[in-house]
Amino acid sequence: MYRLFLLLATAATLTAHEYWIDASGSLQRGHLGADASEHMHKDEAVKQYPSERYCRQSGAVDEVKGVFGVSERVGTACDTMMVILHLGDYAKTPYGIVAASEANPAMVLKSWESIESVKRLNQLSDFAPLGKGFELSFSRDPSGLEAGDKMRLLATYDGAPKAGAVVAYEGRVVGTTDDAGRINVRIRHAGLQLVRATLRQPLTNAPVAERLYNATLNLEVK
Amino acid sequence: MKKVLGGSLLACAAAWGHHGVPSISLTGVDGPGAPLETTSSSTLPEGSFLGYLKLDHAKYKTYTSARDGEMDRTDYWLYGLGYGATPYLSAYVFMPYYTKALDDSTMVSGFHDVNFQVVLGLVYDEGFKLARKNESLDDMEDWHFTIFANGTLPTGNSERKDAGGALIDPGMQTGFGEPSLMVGASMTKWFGNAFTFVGDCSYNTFFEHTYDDGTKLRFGDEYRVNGAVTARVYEVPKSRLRVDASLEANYLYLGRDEEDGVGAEATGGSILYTTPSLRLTYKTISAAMGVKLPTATDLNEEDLQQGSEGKERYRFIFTFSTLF
Repeated sequence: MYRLFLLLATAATLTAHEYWIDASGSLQRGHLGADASEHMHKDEAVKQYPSERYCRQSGAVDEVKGVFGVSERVGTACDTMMVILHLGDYAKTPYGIVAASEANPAMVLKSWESIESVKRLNQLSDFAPLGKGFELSFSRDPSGLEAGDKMRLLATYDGAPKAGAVVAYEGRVVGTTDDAGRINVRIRHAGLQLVRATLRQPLTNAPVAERLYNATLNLEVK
Repeated sequence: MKKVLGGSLLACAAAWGHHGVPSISLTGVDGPGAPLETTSSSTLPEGSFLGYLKLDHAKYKTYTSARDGEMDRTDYWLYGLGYGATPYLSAYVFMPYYTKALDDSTMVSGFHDVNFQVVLGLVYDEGFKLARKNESLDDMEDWHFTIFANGTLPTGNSERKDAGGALIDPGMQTGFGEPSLMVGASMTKWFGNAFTFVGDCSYNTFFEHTYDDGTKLRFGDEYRVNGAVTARVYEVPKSRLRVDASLEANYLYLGRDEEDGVGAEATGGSILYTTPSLRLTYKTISAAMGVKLPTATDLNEEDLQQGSEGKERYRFIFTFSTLF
């Protein structure tokens, strides 16, 4: 029952803005398919977040740490590229969602730390996890996948399989990962794929109640 | 002799060897639906139990207006308990309670033979595989199958006698007197939307029993082929509530009974039923009801087979099940 509530609650978050990495390697946020002008809130373009960026090329992983924002380029000439954004601490109050530091503790309904990761596979044969934070990968080589096929996905945290992650395909929740961190998701169309997984980690003795991980996986299907 | 649902005990069980609970996913109410009589291809979640109740109330056409011992009605109650041993293997035990009433107020009631069933679940996903513990909605669109086997043990009373001490008709007994076996298979295809197709087939055979009066009887073999289309017609995802409407075609072929090794008159034939039904599912509780109507019959000696399958005015069927 708790799991159901959690999933329904998570499902709601999956209808919010999405992150993806476009073909040029730039991070985007908004609604896929909408005009670029509709992608971002007016202040989003100038927001910078602590981040780690990874570029895997021929098996070697290059890491860059620093602040990073939407519309910036994650990497170039990478077989796999990923960015992890530390979006900060938030609190839900009767008056809306605010930064946790600005919330009246008596008014906090729930609070969380938000960590967003976005990964793009440019070479589908480079499908293994990067082993960095919470991420979606493939459990087997996805090369040659077409619309109608299933993606055999794997959710991991620092490379270790994670069970119970909620997975959505382009906004529609399709299930949760099994004990081995696996889930199958069907490709519904050619072009850019956007799969998103959410994982919640309760915290103790922390400023917020839980850590909320969202991981997006992008790839192009012919 | 009136063969009144001689073998339907097994059929009743098989007909819901699918536990009758649509696959309400954690994300709401998506997933395949389950019809009333046709066996859908579900297994029970590993480690979970299923409680089940079914009522099959049949009202028969009478050939005369006199109270002359024609079959009037039957009420078959089925109580069941299932257990998901693994994601792909479920086991059930059923205890049926039958009431059979003639139009002259003669009535027979009692527990029938205990019934055991095992169900093996399969799925086709790049080849046949055992049913999975965890399925995404996209996995649920794969073709699903079950293979099931039932067996009854003669725990019911097959030697009931009337007030005069004469053995009552074997078709009125509340036991077969011998074990019986059924094997079958089902397939289910959910189309990823409101619609689900379900089909099944089964074969049911009986062993010869010698009654106290020396009569030897073997009920005829039975073959069933069922097909159903189920549509989700109402849903409240937040409440995990859904309503499904189903339309089924249920074909039954009854072999001729054998009495002392000779084919018995007024037994056997084939019937096609049409069964519209509704199913309400709320979380892990499911209730369904429908009416099973004989729409085409070809009985061997129709004029003599009052009270047999195919000669019902209607059958009203109600089921209730819950996972826990």
